[in-house]
Amino acid sequence: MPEITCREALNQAIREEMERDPAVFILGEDVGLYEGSFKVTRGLLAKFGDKRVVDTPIAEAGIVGLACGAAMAGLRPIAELMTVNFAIVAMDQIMNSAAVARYMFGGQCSVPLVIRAPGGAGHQLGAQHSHTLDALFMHCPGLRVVIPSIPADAKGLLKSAIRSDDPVMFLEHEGLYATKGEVPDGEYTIPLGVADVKRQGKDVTLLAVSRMVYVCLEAAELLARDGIEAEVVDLRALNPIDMPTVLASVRKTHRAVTVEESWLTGGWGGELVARIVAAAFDDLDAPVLRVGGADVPMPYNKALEKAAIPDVAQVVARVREIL
Amino acid sequence: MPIEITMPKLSDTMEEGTILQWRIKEGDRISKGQIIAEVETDKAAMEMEAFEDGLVRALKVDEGATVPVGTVIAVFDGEGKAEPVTEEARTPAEKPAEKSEEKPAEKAEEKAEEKAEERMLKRSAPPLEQGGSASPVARKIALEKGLDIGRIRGTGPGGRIVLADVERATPQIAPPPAEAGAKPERAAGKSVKIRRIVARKMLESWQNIPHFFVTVAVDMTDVIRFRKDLEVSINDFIVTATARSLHEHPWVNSLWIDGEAVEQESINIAMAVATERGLYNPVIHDCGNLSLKEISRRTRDLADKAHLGKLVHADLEGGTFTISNMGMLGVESFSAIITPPQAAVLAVGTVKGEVVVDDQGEPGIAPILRLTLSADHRTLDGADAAEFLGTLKSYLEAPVTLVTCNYGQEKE
Amino acid sequence: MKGKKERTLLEPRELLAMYRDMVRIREFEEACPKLYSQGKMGGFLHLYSGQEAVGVGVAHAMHQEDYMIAAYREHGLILAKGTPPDVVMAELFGKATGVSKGKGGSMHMFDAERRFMGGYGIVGGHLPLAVGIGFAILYRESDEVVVCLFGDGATNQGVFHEAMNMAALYQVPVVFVCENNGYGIGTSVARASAVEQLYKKSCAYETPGVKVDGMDVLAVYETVRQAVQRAREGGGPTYVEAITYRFRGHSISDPGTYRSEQEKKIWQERDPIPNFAERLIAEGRASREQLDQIDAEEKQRIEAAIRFAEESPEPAAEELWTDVYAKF
Repeated sequence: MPEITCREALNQAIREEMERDPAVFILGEDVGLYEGSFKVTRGLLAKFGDKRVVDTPIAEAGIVGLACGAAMAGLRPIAELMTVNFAIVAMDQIMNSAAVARYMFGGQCSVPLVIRAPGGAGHQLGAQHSHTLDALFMHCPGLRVVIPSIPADAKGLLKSAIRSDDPVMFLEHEGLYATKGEVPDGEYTIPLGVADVKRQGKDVTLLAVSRMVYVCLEAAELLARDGIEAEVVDLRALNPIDMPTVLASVRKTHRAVTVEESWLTGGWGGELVARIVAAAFDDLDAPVLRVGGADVPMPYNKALEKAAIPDVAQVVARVREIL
Repeated sequence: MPIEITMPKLSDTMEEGTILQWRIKEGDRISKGQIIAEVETDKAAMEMEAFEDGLVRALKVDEGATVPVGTVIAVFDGEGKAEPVTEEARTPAEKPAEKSEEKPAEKAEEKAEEKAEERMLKRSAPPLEQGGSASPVARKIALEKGLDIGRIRGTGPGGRIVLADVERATPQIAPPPAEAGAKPERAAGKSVKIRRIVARKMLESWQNIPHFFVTVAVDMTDVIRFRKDLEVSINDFIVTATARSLHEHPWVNSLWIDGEAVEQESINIAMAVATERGLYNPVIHDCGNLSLKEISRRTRDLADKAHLGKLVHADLEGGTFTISNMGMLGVESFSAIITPPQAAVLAVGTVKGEVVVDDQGEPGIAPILRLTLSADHRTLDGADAAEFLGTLKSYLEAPVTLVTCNYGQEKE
Repeated sequence: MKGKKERTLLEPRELLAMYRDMVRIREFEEACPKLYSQGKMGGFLHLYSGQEAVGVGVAHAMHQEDYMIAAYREHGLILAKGTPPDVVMAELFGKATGVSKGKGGSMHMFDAERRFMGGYGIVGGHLPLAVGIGFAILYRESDEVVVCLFGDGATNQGVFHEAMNMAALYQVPVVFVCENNGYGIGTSVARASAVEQLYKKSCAYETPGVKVDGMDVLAVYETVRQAVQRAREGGGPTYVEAITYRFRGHSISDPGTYRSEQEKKIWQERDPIPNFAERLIAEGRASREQLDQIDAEEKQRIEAAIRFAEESPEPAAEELWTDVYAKF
């Protein structure tokens, strides 16, 4: 199996889906001529032309609104937001149009829309360009929230997201585009809402998405030196959440720690904790703890920023608290 | 995690207590067993000790203030619970098999690690409240195995009983006949019979006797000096001093018979001896008037017999009071469980150099021993225990009183 | 200003249908306040009375397969697009037979079959959706048109400008119809917009902006017809400002006290329905009896709609969980 980057895996997914289904097109700021801010759409304009690879003005509400309307009229748009931070500008369209249309109109329309948005912190981009909004989207019914970590997942999940008849927030991580991994050539899909055990263990379950999966894997390595075997579960989606996989793991290890990059308060970790406690209380050997980012706007200073983002040491510390 | 220290109930009739004096201040590191305050009950002034290690975060009540029992008087940062007397399973002194397995070196390492972690964790969630003393899965499995969760010692964070503890535990509830042959894991060499006797007695004691615990600190400077001269052990001094004290406080030397306390004429002190086969409590009979030397000899004999498995039935009968000494195991202080039908048991810790202040206010180092009396509240009140311990303390701090009369003479 | 100078070449059949549609809307809307006060309906209720000429003029200028998309004062618009009043009324009653299964309410009606693409409650929020639908038409190289109706308040929203810009940029087949009824809730256009002539707001996007008398159904029809034709032929978007007036408050809970009695009276005299009736009779295109009969039929029709709504079942309990996702 060839080793390629996340960026290339996403490009493959878009390219293959556009070849497969003429209703699929991509629009967004600088996705065409410029080939994408993160170069995910490299080569697509040349291959598909400007009818299907559409450069837009800098107008996020307009982009998402247009894509939502096109989806309601039967197309399968992929709206690329340059970064997830700008999704806030489009939040009205995301939450008041795309997420609710099917329900509000009594099931008479579909919104098969994918909104791709890279996010995450760690590059000293400051308080307006370092958001991770996973929990915000998860909070809104009607939106699927899909978050890949490794290149193979990026490809398989994006292809499934494009084929989904629901609006999907497809959240990428700016720090993972260059990450390499084995990715199957050609047709390869992963169903939405199926978690993946990235490392087997018996002592504690670590639950994470996106870059935090890597942090958890590193933490698991460190813990293994002390004989603590951590199981790392990559949720891969926050809507739907694969509770069967989560609970099976927790019933095996009797302990769990959630690890999210974004603010801890009101984060998805709390939701997972509540669900685990409700469903597997009698299988717990310790309280379910959370790791999350500092509840502050992201500072610019490098050291301060580092302190605001969860790291391996924090995950290890949390695990030690319950073992 | 924060530990709330509440005004302890130190007598049956005590409803409020007065903080006479704080022996700690905010920011102090406290070790388990340390006296943290002097509390006046409706009966007496008592020393109150810490049952946990920790860091004093706040003193909530001023000296001289009177507050109801149960009022939070101080907050510590530490691990686990800290009510001076809790319903939690304790480590019975009579169960050496369950002695603390933490080595000091490990502890120090952990402390350093905790400090580093504390700094790190300040960035993330505030520490979570940890409610119960047993995890849900531990409770579930204990129920399935027919184990009394309250009897299992927790090794999890903050002393929480976790699954591993339950899996190691022996069923303490009498198993149904069909399972009588089931043998839980145990260290080789232990006698099942002895274990069962201990288990039965201790369970009966814990379930039926309203225990309370009083601790004193004793300056052992003179005992240590004498010991070298007399070639007897510290334990011998303690047994002798106890015998004398029981003589002066006969109520402590009583047995609970048919619903009432009956004072015993002869003083028969049982000593807990941990052997490879299990725990024995051989008795030094009628030792109220024995010399230090004689007590030393008998004690040594009984211990030898215990280790060789040569104790006879008579050696184990008739105890009126028990002493359990874990000093040689490095234990600072602990609380023991009373052997029914006795009224009390004395738990002896190790002698450890501590900073003390003399009458002139000059600091110095003194070898300090902590004695904890577990007493049956049906028979004894806090004041009784305190007075008894006061006498014992005065003997040990002036051991010359133990060696003058009859020293070297054998009893006729 | 386009007005009565326009000589229409419409068939009497079409003219009577226009009259009927306006009467139906008026009867429907005027039946609502009583039903609302009886507790048959909940939520917001924005009535269309007074603006019928705009909706009906627009609808008659469109093909059935053309798309219409609107804001939240859309009872009249969905009726004009041909949706039976029964299911519209049932929606207001929150019934399972409602046009959105009782889950949308007054502001969120949708009729996939008649290509009414929904009513939306966020001011200006549906404008980019209209552009998207237009984009899809271009993408599929078909020849439908989208007509997007909104109020004067929407033109002050940022997303209005995003939509206008993108529509012009991609030359989508969209006709923007601004129903300028003079007030954004209680704030007059003069107090909310730096430019009172709202039709001028498209000049920045080089999109034709035209103004029309929104109380004259034929003027609206003619103006929108031309705009629809331009869009269908690939000429891109047009922006129409229809000057109109709502006879009632912004919503059922608004007494409309910010408007003078004199102002209301002036506009009442311009009521699009009797004026159109007079004109039809004057021009010999219809008789008073014909029109009276239409009035009576539509009155009955709305009464039947109310009965239908009354008798319809409430949504099933499990309806709470349906249609959140494509596959649940």
